[in-house]
Amino acid sequence: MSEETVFKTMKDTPRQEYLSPGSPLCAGCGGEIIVKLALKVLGPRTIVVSVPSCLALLELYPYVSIKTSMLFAPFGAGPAAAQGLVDGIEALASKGVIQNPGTKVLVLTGDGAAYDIGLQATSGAIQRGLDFYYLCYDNEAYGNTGFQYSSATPFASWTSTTSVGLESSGNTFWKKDLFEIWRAHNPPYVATVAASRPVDLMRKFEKASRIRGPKLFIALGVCPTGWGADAKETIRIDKLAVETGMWPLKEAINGEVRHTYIPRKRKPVEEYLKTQKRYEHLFKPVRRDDLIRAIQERVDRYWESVSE
Amino acid sequence: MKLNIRLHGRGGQGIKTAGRVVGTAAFLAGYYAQDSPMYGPERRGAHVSSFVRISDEPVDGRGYIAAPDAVAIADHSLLEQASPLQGLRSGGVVIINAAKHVELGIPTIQQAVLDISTLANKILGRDAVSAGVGAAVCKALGIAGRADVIEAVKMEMEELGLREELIEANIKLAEECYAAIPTLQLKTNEEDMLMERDEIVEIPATPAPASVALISAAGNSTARKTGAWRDATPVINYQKCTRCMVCYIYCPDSCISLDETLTPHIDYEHCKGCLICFMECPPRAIQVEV
Amino acid sequence: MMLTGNSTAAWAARLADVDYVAAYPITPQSEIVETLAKWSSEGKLRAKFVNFESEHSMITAAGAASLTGARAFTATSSQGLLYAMEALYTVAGWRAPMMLVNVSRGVGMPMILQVEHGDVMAARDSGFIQLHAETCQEVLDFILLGYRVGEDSRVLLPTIVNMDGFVLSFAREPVELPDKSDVESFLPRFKHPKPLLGLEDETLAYAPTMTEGASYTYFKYQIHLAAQEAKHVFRGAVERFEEIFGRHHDVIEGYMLDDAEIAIVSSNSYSSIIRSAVKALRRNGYRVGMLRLKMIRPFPREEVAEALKHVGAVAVFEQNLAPGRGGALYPEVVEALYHASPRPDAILSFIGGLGGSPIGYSEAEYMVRVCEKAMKTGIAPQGPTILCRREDWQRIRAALKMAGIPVEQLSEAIHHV
Repeated sequence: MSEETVFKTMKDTPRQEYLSPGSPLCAGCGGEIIVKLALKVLGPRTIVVSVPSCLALLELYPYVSIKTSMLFAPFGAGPAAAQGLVDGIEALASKGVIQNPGTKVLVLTGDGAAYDIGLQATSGAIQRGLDFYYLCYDNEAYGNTGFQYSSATPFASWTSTTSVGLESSGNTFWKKDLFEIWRAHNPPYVATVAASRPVDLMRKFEKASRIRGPKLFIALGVCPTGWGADAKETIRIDKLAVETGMWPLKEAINGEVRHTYIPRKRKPVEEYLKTQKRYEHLFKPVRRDDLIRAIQERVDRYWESVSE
Repeated sequence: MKLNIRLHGRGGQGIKTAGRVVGTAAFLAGYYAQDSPMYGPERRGAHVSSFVRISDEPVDGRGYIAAPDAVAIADHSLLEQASPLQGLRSGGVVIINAAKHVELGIPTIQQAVLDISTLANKILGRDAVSAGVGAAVCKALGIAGRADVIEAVKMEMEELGLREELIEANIKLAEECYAAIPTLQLKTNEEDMLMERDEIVEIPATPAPASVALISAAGNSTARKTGAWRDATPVINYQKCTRCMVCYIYCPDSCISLDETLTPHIDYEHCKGCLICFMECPPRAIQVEV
Repeated sequence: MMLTGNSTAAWAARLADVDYVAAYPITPQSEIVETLAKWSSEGKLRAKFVNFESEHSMITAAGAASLTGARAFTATSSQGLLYAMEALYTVAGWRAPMMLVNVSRGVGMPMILQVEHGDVMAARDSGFIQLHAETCQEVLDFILLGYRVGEDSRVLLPTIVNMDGFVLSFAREPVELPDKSDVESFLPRFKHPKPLLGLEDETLAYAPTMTEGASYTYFKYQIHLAAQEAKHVFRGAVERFEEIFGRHHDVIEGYMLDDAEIAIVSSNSYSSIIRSAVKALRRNGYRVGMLRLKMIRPFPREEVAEALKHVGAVAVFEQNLAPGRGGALYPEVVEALYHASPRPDAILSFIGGLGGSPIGYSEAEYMVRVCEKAMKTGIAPQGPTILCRREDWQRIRAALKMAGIPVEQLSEAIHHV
């Protein structure tokens, strides 16, 4: 695919900032890097619809870190609020009350809203073909409330509600495949992104901005606080997620899936798991080869199904 | 006895647990006690406080302690940012986690200083001061004896689900802090409390948009100086810097800006010290200063 | 023109030239959105019409649209209103002056389709202005008034116009449809003081999270003050309304209250039944009148007190039941009268018409007789007194029996007078 792009290397990163310093988010927040980069591509005429999540703290009275407009909506209704904004502007423009400002509406949520409580509203908005962007920064748990299980929590991960003890090795379920659920709605664009792959990320937002309809992104939201890692490890962990194949980078244009990066020599998943305290029980006090193997096999099976 | 204590620290230091250690120790020592934490939705590094009320009668009062007899400050940089001394009563005690005496400029307040962070770093390997602060508060205010304090630390650490060796290390920290800090005589007067009052006002109706919850000052979070969160500082070696933009791209807080020559500059007023730039800099041109 | 309550609501939206209709079906409301969908497809309604996947989304979207400056309309009922409860508080907090027509219906479980006000009463503390209609004409008038009041920058709050399911929503009666030009002059285009359009020269961050009780208190209290102000703005609006359309409205309606000894407080469509019962009671020698609440939020306490302070006893008749409390409006009426001077000797709570149960002369006379007894003897039932006909009690027993429940040991129903 040789589509026009202004993003060829990291040096093409737009210099305009739409995220101000001074946010109350944790040092080293992966989700914040994602938002920062996404807004650089989307530009100033964007309304960010946010719902309860860590990133909602970007708008914490009387301060706001995002330099575009924002609206805070109910947990399960981010896409519905986006719909009202898009439709309201369109209705006023079609009646000639205002000139259509070409505003982009970005729903920004965590995985709790995207995978769980807001899935119904998202399903509705995608099915209705709403012209909007949805960015889920997936930190694989309800981070804002103290890191409880969500349906995005990976297998064997500790969360504060999938405890680890004599009777339990963390989460017993496999992570919900939101990419495929979204894709099944036939949106024109779905993609996964990662902070450690900024060019890939910016290109995907650029591509999406040329498309009308629902444009949906799932970003790995490395969460040092919840995952139990040092803040400086964020990008290193993010890279490992990509290189072990645990976080595939892909897009689906009109339903057709294409991987935008295929790790040729995948690193063992163990290298990724070891970096985070939420997986500590896979290595201590005894090594749980059974669980590590189960995770590895799942990743292997995924990549076996990927045609080049 | 009637003792109201307010503890201040940063998210991640264990201020809630420190308050619980004090509450439990007082309870074990035979007092009525009440402890409660307070924190906003902010993250790690943000200001957290905790309140402990101790009395030989059933405790009255709840929530925020506006006029404490004693204040504990787990991070002395909060003195500049969070007004932790606000409302501290005349004759009261302040317990500060610091290497040396801090000049507060309030002669009516007594001060007990202990470098709990250094001890915690030595014993636990990180700035987790809950057991130390809890023990120091108990000793400085004469709340409970050594045995009760150790038992309280043990109970609270077990409650957190810590591993055996970490519980032991926390007990060791508590013991050292307990031994190192002096007991001060509180000189606050309970009668003062009854005199404190504020004027009650009626909020007026205000016209839109003042009545609407919105912010029309885009990007004003720069007023929040998150640089104070930092305990390690990234410093760019411009001789080695290749102007590759990597640090600029990965800084979560937009704290690194580029000039026309693509030379990065760190905004130390806001840099939280995550050190992603240090980790990811391809030519290793960023050093860390502690 | 002969119109049902539902089609009148649709006509009101059309005449108000709404920009946005957010829809989700529920009995007995669906006809409203069906009508608007049809008009929209025929080009008779120049509004963007969108079907939603839930009331929670529908109301959120309508509120968001109204933040852009669009005039937004939506309708629901019962379970739908409760499903959207969080969204109600949200749009009120956004200060989004959208219109929500609620077609009242009992709230399950047990499920029922017929009227009861438990749904709209549950929304009474959400920050919405509430206007409750007795007639189809009032449905129209209140929607126009509601937009005018809610969109006023002194108010900026959403409005619920309530009508009773079946009894009004499906009942046809003559309705005077105003000229479009008259409506335009009464209700000019909505101008939001701070429209959320995402423009770079006016960035607005709506509804930030608060960290302090003080600011939170301030904004919550402003919603309250704005709701209070809505009554005064309404007063101004009804004057203009009367000038243009010739119909008079107020926050309450008094009927035969001037020399009344006993007053029945009522609201919504069953007030028509109470009114005719009052007439009949007068013929039978009772000095009785009716006070109808047209505005429920803000609660018109001064007006209620002024209208009722001279009567001897008040029967507050309600079609809702808050378990453990009784009628939701009863304490509000009592509070309104508590500081009045003089004030009634007795204020009693009656509940009936739940799930569309019939109300008629029997109920009205019974309420009046219980009030009389209370005035004379000082003895009053604990309340709320449930209004159930002997015939219905027999029906309840028969149904229980049919459902396989032995009824022989059940206590007998009691009678207060």
